[in-house]
Amino acid sequence: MDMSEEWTSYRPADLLMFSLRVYERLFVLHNQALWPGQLLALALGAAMLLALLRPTALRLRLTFLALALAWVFVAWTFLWQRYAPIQLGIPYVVPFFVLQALLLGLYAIKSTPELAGNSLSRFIGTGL
Amino acid sequence: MTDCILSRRRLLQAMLSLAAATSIPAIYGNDKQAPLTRPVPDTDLKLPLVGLGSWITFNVGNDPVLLKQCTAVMAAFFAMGGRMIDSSPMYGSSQATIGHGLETLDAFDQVYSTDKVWTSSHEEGPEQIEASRREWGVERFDLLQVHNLVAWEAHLETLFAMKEQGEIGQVGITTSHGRRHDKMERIMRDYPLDYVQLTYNIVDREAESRLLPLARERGIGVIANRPFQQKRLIRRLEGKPLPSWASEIEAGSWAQFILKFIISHPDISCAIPATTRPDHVRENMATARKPLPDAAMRRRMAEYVQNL
Repeated sequence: MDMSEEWTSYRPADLLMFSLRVYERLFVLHNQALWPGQLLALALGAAMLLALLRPTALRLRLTFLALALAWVFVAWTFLWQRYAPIQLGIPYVVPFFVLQALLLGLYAIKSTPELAGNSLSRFIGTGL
Repeated sequence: MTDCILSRRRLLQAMLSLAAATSIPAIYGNDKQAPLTRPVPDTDLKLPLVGLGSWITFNVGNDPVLLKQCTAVMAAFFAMGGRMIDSSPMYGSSQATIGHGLETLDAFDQVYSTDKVWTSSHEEGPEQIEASRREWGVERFDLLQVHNLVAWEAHLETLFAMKEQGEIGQVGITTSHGRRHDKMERIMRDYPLDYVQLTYNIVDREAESRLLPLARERGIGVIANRPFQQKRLIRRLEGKPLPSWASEIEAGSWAQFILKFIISHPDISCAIPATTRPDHVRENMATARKPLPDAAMRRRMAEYVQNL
């Protein structure tokens, strides 16, 4: 059996490192630890939607910065602190979250953000 | 403050031991009876035929509820006379979970610590072994194995040197799912291994033809992993009738039927089922007692499962 045959002989279930219960508990504990931070996140999300519907350069800049912070926050508090101990692949994913945050931050700081397109496409995009 | 911590720990130990020792139905047998053992190669030590695996089940991160649950599993395991616990750096937080359990139960003298080295880099081997040792909190590993034969030549060199220095007890190699048996056979012939770990159960019996006889010939202990095919075998048999003659070997469930089959093979040193439940660990440990099936009964058991 060569290496490629060996890898294809694994079932997806063989590669799962943790049980469903552990994964569910991960979200339960994370949300319990954050409470009532979820309310703040909802308020921020609503503010970003409003900013996208009535955009100005400042509002868009703040929206991009808020998104950058959100990517870093998730990478640190969920991926690194909670998920990485049970999933060995997560440390390789975290840098991509940080990169995404950096790109969003750079865009907010270095350029003048603006939304292209007419009001309908903007409305659909915001809805999505 | 120290006294306070110690007294809390003692209280928890007492509670877990009490919970582990009470209300034991017939399926768990008499917990006072010591489990059957087989010798550890090259030592005077003997280990129970059933150990405890940690793949998936002990990978619970830093969840306090699940850590407590795993500690209760370990408490039940030790209360039934269990010794060998097996883990790997590949198992996420399992090593830290075991370390937590050992410290909470103050069970460092009871455990036969079995771990693995799992890295493709020769240089990283000793560093990884030391990190694993710290996670467990043990002074040294009783058995250290090369996981899945990854970089086996280089790691075996390290492990034999560590054994020579008294930094580990025994040396082994592992594989699973019936893979790389040819390579394992070659290594068993060429190196003075103490243990091999491989998949063996009532439906995965490839090891019987060459590896188990070779292990006997070379005086190598054999640890059987995936005894229940990660529960798949149990699910397959669930709902199907346990034969009436299973009572002759005191197998009261499919799990006991399968485990009795594995550990009754004379060349198997230990089976390492993993579980999240103290009642299951008791049920598993209870199989390491007489009566064990003889050769004729083993054939009958295998044929019965094959025909289901």
